[in-house]
Amino acid sequence: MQFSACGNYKTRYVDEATIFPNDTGRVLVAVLLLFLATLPLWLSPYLVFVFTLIGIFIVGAVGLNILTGSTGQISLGHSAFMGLGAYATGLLAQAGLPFWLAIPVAGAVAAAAGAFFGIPSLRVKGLYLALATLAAQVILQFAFNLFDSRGGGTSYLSVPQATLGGLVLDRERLFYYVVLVTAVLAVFAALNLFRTRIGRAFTAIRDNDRAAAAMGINVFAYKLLSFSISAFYAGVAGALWAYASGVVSAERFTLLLSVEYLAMIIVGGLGSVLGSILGATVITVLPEGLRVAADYMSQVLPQATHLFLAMRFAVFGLIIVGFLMLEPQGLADRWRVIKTYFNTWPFRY
Amino acid sequence: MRTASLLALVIVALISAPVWAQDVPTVKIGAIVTYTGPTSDVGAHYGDGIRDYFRWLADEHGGIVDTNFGRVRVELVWTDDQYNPQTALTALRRFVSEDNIIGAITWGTGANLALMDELNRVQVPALSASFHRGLLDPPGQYNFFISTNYDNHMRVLIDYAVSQHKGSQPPRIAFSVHPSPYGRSPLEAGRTYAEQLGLNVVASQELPADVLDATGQVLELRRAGAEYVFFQNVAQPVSVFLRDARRQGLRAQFLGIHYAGGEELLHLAGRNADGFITTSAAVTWDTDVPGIEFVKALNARYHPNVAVRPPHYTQGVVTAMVLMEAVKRASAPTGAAVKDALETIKDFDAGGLTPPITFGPNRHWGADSLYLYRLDANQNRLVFLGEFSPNYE
Repeated sequence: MQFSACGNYKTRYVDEATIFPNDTGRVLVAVLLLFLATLPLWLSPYLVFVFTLIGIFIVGAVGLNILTGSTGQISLGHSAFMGLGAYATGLLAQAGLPFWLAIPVAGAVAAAAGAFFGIPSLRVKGLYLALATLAAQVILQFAFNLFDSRGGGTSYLSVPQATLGGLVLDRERLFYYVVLVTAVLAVFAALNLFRTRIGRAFTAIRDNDRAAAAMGINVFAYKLLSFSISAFYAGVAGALWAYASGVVSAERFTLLLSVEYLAMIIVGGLGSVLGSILGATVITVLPEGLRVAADYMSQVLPQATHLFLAMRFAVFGLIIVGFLMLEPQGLADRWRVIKTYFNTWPFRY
Repeated sequence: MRTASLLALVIVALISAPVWAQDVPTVKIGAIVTYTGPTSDVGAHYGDGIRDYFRWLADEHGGIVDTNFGRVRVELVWTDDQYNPQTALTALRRFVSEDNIIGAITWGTGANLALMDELNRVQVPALSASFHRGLLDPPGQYNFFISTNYDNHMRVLIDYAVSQHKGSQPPRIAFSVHPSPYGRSPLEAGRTYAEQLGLNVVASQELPADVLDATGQVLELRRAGAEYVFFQNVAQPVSVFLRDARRQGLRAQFLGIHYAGGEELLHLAGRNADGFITTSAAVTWDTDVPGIEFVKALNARYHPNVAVRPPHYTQGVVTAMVLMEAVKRASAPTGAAVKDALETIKDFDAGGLTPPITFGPNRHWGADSLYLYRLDANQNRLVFLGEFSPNYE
């Protein structure tokens, strides 16, 4: 096994594109995955649920990063596509489809919607595209509300627990593994996507779409493909979310969540799969941590409750601004710096 | 220097918290309420009522209560769910797995619908602020509420509108509700009942909690010629609607269920709210009943700068009282035992703050009657119109 290289010995372009240049990464990832697999054995159900949520938002954030970070197409409709996946899953699961079928089908439904709402990307760019995707968000959100209100609208779409061959994958522990496996598959699929012709085409479009067209890339087709891949990821995230929470309601899939998704990839690092993972983790854990902290502080000092509740949002905003100012390249870049430092550690060079 | 004193303050606060005697076991109650986000304008009052009651319990009695399973110290853990069902669900999982709560107090219909399955699975009873009929279906599960359901609130309002109606044509009525299961909860029953009575339902519209301008909705009702408008919403959006109704000259009688009216609406809408009819599960601030002194003392003690509270504050206090009564009656410190104890509560009287509350194995709504009030802007108070016992089912 080779753990580190003391120089650049790459002789082929393929070497540049390897995911693991040496065995250190492989070992670390294997250890990390093993560690994550043991979590439900010793963590409380609440913390397992938090990790489940992190896994779900990692899938969603990786998807958005393919579109926004790597293809350069901004989207404000990501949460709507996630909602579409969640609603599709709810209906499919009620129809009796097993979860391993319902999740990809929900992804496909979202992908189709993503391709449809991506059509304006041929003509409009930047802020204008942001508004066009905002339309997708508003339209789908309205549709969710209409769906919720059918038949009086006094109940939510409820999703039965996932089962695998008679075994109930309970929401507290076992479903976590479904999320873990899906997240790992999603991450590896995304990493490999960028080693293919498709991934390179995405990057070319992001860097300059006219140059990409001149090189013979069908810009429109690849933009739509990027939209649908991204929406597929969002749909899968929505499907997992539907199973994890048991009810699907329009209240979750608002514009706020789309903005949170953008915050995830900005905090994590645009165009980086690792960035999506780190960003999704931070943006999921941070509000939850702040909530627990605020709850605890108001237990200790009850007279200042309203202050702590309001501070939660202010602190959240401050942390995001802090990231943008101090880590403009995102957490992924910080990780690269750390890695580079340890590459030659303990020797300087 | 300032840092040091701040640090000292924090340290003192941290160590003084668990200073109480450790020899009595602790049981915990969880409250998942709405302090921020939609419906928080009334949700905060409800949350304050619950929290103030438990703070009083801790300050006056050290949280110690004598129960059937011995002397215990009761502690409240609570959080703000931002009217988001997912946040409420995460909070419930946290309270159940980290704090081992034996009872819960919750707020919105949406959150409660999301919590229903989970409550039954972990066997923790919840007293909700939502009076949504569907929460008790099928009967005998872990959801309770202290009033009669929203459907009955709506029917009382419709009856009142019919009794006030003059003219040869049947009344033209409209519904304006919050776009959520909470808002839509009494729609179907209201519409069916109105049709039974031969009323003319001319419109049904939704009004979001963060609405800033309701001109569109008001104009629709004016075109439709609505004479009576029934709200199932919270005070903030209703006040916006009433303002625009006055501006656009919509002359109709406005009526609302429990969370729409109260002192909060009077405070927000002022003169525009004059004549508004509201149902209520609890008495108003200036009602002369024995229990109100305690509620006023609680508020004065913990919120000296808040002069008047809507009935939702009192409702929070009473809800906490009912749950504590069940904890005292429970045979063991478990959620299932507290649920059984809740079902033994008969004619619970919190000093006249609410109608008497009775639960049973298949009866998880507390009161059979409700109060009706008219908002009077000139006197800046709510005028009591009567107590009604809607019995339609």
